[in-house]
Amino acid sequence: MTAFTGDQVRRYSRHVLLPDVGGTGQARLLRASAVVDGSGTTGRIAALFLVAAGVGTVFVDGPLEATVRAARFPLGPGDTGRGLAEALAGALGGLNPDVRVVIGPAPAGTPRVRVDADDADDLPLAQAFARGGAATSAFVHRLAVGEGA
Amino acid sequence: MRACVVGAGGLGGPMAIALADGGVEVTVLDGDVVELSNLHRQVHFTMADLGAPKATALAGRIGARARGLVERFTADRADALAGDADLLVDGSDDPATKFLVADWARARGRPYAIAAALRYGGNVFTGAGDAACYRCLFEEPPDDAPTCGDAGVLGPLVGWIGGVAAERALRLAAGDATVAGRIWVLDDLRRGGPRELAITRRPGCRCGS
Repeated sequence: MTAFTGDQVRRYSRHVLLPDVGGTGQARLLRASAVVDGSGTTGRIAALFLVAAGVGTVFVDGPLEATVRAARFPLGPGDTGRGLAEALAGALGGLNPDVRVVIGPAPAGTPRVRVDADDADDLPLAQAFARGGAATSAFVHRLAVGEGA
Repeated sequence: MRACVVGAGGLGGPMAIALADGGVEVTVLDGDVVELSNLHRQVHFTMADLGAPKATALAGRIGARARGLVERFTADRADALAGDADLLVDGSDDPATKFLVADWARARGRPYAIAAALRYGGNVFTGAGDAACYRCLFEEPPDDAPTCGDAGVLGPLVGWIGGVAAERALRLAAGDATVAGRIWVLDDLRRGGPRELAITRRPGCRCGS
């Protein structure tokens, strides 16, 4: 059983209160790896929620050669014109010190969140939140209860 | 088009960001500051925001289409805070505020969306015009409703529900009344997916008197 730091107890308190998650489930999340199958609008939102939830290693695997044309959340205005990989690493990397963010492919067998069908760069953010949030909600619950994903 | 977004937390963040992305100007209201216990779900904040007022931190994140007011939505202040809004959306964490927002919007003829999330579920009520109102369904605020601080909430759930609320609010903003008087409900994601129900007007509800 992992011992939580005081900051972790506060950060994850709303998870620790949940039936099915608790301290055991949050510790499982912190030890888990996951890969988001997409680097477009929905993939970025999905990755953001995995990082915030404390999934220990989050991979974002999608097309990365493009530069950012018009930065939208979670990218910021300063990201326009940057490489997408660099911008994504910046937007996701500083959120949670418990999480390692990797922009690129994951090892075979890493649990995958699939968002590719809804992952256009110009998808309205309302739909990206709804779809990215839905895809990661069930996924995080399965990881927390140790069902894989 | 301007929306008044009540609450800048787990639901208010995605709603305000998505409404602004859809071309709507937003006024964000929240009296609280960012705490570490918010960050497992309030993905619009970072550790650099800890201790800052949520309303202004969220508005700063959105940019030119948003203004943040460090205030709660109260009966006394509603006209001043929401008078210029064409649409109201609520992501607050207390039932009394939800009823206040819904009542004010209904009385002033503004379309509205009221969103809630707790543990593994939540709902989004959308109202406009003469369609069934929030009180036609829920009647009165419960006096013992648990909050996320009491009962917990699965982090990504607020993105899902906030996104659904924003999609439906944008439809109301575009004049699509087909979502008015309806509720989207996710009882518990561990046991099934969301449902959508049409609500009929309740005889005796104050909206009909």
